[in-house]
Amino acid sequence: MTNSLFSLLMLVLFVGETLTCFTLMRLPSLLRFYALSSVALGGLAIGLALEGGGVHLIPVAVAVVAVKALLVPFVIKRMAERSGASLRLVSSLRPSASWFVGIGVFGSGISLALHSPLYQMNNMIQTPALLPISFGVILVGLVMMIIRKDLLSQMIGFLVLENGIAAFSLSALGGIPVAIEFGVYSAVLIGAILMATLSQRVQNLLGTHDTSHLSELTD
Amino acid sequence: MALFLLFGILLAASLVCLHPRMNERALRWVGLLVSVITLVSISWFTVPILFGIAPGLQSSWWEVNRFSSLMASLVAWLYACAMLVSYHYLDVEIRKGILTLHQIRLYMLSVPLFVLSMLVAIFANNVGLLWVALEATTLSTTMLVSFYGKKSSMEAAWKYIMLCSTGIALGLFGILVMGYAGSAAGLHEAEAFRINFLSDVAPSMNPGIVMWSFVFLFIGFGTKIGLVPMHTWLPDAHSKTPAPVSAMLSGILLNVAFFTLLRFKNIVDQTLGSSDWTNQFFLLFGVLTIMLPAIILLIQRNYKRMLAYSTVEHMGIMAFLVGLGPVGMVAFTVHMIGHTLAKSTLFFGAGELLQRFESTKFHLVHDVMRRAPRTGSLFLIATLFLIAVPPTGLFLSEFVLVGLGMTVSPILTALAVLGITLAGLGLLKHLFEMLFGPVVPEEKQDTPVETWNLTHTVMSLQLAIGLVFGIWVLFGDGWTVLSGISSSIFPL
Amino acid sequence: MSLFSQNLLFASLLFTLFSGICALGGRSLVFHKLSQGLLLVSGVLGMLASFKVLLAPQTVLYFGLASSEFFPVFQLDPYGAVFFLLISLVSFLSALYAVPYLASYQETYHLQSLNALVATFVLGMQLVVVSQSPMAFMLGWETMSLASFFLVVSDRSHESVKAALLYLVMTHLGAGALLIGFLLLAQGFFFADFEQLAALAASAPLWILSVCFGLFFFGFGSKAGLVPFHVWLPEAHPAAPSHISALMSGIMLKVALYGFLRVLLFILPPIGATASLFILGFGLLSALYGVLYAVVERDFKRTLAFSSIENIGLIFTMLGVAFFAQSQGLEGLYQTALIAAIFFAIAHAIFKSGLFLASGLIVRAVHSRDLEKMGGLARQMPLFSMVFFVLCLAAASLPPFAPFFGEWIFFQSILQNFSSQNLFVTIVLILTFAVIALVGGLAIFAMVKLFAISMLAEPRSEAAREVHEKPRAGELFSVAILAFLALGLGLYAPTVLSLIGASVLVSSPAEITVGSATIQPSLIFWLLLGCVFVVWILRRIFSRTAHERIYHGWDCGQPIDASMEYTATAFSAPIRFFFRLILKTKKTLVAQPVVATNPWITTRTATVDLRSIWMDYGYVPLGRFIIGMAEQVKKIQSGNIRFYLLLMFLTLILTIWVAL
Repeated sequence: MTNSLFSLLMLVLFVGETLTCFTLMRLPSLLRFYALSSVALGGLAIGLALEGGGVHLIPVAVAVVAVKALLVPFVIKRMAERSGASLRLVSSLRPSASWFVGIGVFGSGISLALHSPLYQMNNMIQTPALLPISFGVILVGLVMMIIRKDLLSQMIGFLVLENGIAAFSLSALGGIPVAIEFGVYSAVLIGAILMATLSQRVQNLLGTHDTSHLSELTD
Repeated sequence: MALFLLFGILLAASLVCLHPRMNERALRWVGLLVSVITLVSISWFTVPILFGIAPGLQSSWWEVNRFSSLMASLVAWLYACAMLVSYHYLDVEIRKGILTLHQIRLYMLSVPLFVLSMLVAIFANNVGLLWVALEATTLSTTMLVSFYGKKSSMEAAWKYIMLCSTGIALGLFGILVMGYAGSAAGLHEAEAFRINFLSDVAPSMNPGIVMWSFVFLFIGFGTKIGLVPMHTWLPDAHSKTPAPVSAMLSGILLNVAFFTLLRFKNIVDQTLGSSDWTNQFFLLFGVLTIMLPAIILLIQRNYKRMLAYSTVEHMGIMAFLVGLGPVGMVAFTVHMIGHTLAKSTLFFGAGELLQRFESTKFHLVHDVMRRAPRTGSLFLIATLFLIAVPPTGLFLSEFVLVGLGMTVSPILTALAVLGITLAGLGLLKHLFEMLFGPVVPEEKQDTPVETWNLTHTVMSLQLAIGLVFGIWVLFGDGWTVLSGISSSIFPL
Repeated sequence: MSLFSQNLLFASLLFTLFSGICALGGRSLVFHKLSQGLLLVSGVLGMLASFKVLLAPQTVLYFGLASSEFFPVFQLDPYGAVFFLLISLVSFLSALYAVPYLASYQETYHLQSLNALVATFVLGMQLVVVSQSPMAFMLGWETMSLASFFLVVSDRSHESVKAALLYLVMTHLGAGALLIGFLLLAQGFFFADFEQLAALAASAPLWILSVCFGLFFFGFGSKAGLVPFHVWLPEAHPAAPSHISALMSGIMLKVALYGFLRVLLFILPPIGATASLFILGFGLLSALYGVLYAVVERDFKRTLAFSSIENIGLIFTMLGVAFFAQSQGLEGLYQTALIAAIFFAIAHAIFKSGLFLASGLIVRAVHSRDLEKMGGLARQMPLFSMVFFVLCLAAASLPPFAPFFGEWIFFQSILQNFSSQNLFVTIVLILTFAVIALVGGLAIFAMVKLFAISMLAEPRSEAAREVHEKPRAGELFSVAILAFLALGLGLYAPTVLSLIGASVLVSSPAEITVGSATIQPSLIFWLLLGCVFVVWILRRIFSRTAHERIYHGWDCGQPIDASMEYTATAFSAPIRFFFRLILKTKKTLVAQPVVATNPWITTRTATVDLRSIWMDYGYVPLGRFIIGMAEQVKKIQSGNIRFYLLLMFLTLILTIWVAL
């Protein structure tokens, strides 16, 4: 297990906030919790750096917080406000059911990880607990994209998935080379901007951001 | 390094389009000029390597071998062709008042970035860089999918960016898992992301982890390649972009994604000691990817989507060929080149048809052979190239597919042949309705008399090259040369 | 000199290629003539090359492409030479015919592409016959199939496109079957040649051989037009211009036969009794079905197409009997039946090409393919009608024409084997004999209908009354040559039969002497000629010409006109009645009052439509099923992105589950 209390706290926060993201139905709160979970991810990186993971994790943590906790939520919120999109999001599930599904998916992700050979050779992993959790978060992100009906939450589902992958890179590799890390973050940022622009244009064109209206290309 | 200069030029070309004083004519000229520069410099750089005259290069970030030189030459060639066609295509759209200066700017901004990211993806030796470049190909073309601003193009763009990004994210996970396996095998942090190092330590990596990594890479990059059932975005996106861009998406981008996957396959095969395990993936998904679009092609109603489905089918054929081992890889190379030439020609033709008849629906376009004989005949010939009529390269590659497949799995091969046959039938059936069917009252009646234009020249040029290529591989020493090229990534 | 003769073959192919390239030169008729001229040269060279191979056994002409990695030499062996000769001959004559014929259709057809396609088509067939490896074979085969596909649509009409697409389905599936068959046999040595393939086949397990036989049977049978894979043939052959119909019916079907025999004789080990009975059964079915439709069909060219199905059926029957005899150890019957089949195929190529070329002239004269619009043409085109009469007699398998001798030696050898000890063999042979006899009778019926309705009596339409476009010299000449050949081949049947025997069977055929001993074509010919002469003399002596007077016909005072004549429909009515189980017809009677207020006085129109049971109960429902299935499959493209994401997710999970 992680040896510092700080890391443990961050881990718990990360999981809790991600799962909350899965269930929230209003855009501002959803974005807030997404930002918080990203902050927790940054915290995990700092924790790892403090435990001897290397100094290069510090700029990574800063980048995570800057991109995922500040820039991306800001862009999404800005776009949503400018297009006058409804802040109420649409899902196939009720919030209470979402909790069950979310925990179930998260749990199956963890069990998947525990059965994988990745976890079985955990003697070289610095943070063994983070690895199964990252699996869980990835699955939660994927399922969130599937069960959410509107463009904005699908986007956040994708970002949650991305967070899971980042968590995996932290746990399994102790972070990847900084140059690549920045490349990945800028790709995420540009992707988010593009997605937000698109969703804004869809909103302007259709007056809704429900994806069930975007299902005409069936040939 | 010559490459950096080229990358710089592409980037500059893209940025210069932002300059507010550029008018649409200047923008088109810049696009054309840069594409020609790219073609010249890429050929100057890669042709010696391609034919084995000069050795390849390798550095910590870049690797240039014979196969990647081939890919880059194809990219540069198609870029130049697409820009030539765009020059005419955009001109017509502007005169019709469909496009604004703003959109032309967006077009000329995106395309060089797109080409740049493809070239980086081809030459990257660092898997992280490779991933970023591959993601950049999606991002730089998203705005081109939503280019016409209609509801359906928005829908296509959304699906394109969401599905491809998710796929690529899964691919990133696969890459990280592989890096993990690499570092477990003793590589340093930075080294674990370099393909040549991974390749070196491959035999000592943990097979279980590498297999996990490959599943994610396969599904993730398979989404980008358009393997069934992750292909769902492809017909939407490829039919909504402007025709020259569709040609590049269908003709070369998928090949680039395929090439990326193959480089990882190579590492996995080395770890497992044999290619049987990975080949099964390619064979099974290959057959599925041939069969499904083949069946849908029978009842397709839209010619751009028809071409897109046919692309999916050809990706299936290519996947199947990869699954057949090193000799299959040679056929893969043949097929890739043949498909690139034929499919891009068809998309150029589709753009020409769209501008003339103002619809992409079969039931609104008829009697093309009389009303647009030049486009019609070139389109027909390109379709014949695509359905592997001798003497084209595809004939040889499909012959090898059956020949090799019979030893590996007769049933899957028989299914693949059935699929290829059905797809050919579907294509020709629709094409004949379009070429010879009588004009119906609903469609556009008074089309102007067709004259020979730049698009026709490009189409004929591509077809001529395709024919020469086919004769070269069938009757000349093409097979030997291509064996040499494909063995640079998969030794025979 | 030897260098020259070695290059004959290559030159022939090269000239065909030149002809195609030249045709693309331009719109002017000069290019048309030049292109046909080059095709003529190619035909002559091809005939020379094949004669060289046929007359001096042991010689083999070949050429190879030195630089190629895996392309083996092309070579012409005696067996191939038989068919190469046919291809060269028919393409030569059709080129001769096309020079004036196509000139009168400049408006209808796009001459440039048409001529280029004809050359490609001929080149494809030539390549098939000279190729010695699956790769080269498929190359030629596909070239031939696609060129002929485009030839079918050459008039760009809606019906032609429909016919062509039906053809495409069959030919495409057939080619796929052949490809799989060859390469399944090759077991990975996909650049092997036929000899190596035969060696591989000798050691292949039984299931591979059976599957391959099935695939080859389907592949070649669908091209040859065997029932039930024949549905495309009566649609496609008539849709093409007539000289191309001649090429298709006359030689493309033979190329399919060539391929089938190439595989059975030279590659696969001897097939057993079951497979040969399979061939026999399909042969008999095709013969019977084809001839019945040939009798009842009213479209001139479709009648010929159905007659082709019948003849192909006869050829496959002969082959079936041959291989059956081989499996039962009856070597004599095997050899005779095999040689009879090839002889009959040659004869069919000649007379059917002639008939199709003739049909072009008739159709052009009447501007219709409908037999009910013809009649009385013999008076307008006397010379042509003589030639046509000869061809019809040949097609009805009457002596002394070539087809008769093909059937005759076959019948004889079957009769000789009736007494064989094995009851099973006797039953099979008797059944075959009975069906063939019935088919022979019906074939005469069909040909009588074809000639009599089109040529004799009063014209049934205005167009037939006043023919403007009479046959020209070149056209008449090529038809006449074919008629003459049908006779000549009959007269020299024994020589030709032994030549074929030498080319097909490796061992010197001992039993074929029986054939030449029992048939005396020249004797029959002189006998027939003598009979005619005697009748003529007797008539001169006994008939009192002086008492004849010419007077108009009398019909209760009404003028006699064409509406009183026997029609093709009425002529075939008895057959339609007897075989109504197979010959599905759809009669519709439309009664329309002349004056709207009076329902009693009406004009009635009756139409009798021929249906095809294979289409109605086989292909159409199958096609509908496939389209229905496609609609179901297309539901995967639901348009809903969440479903797409779910698909991806499930694939990921499933793959992890299965693969790891």
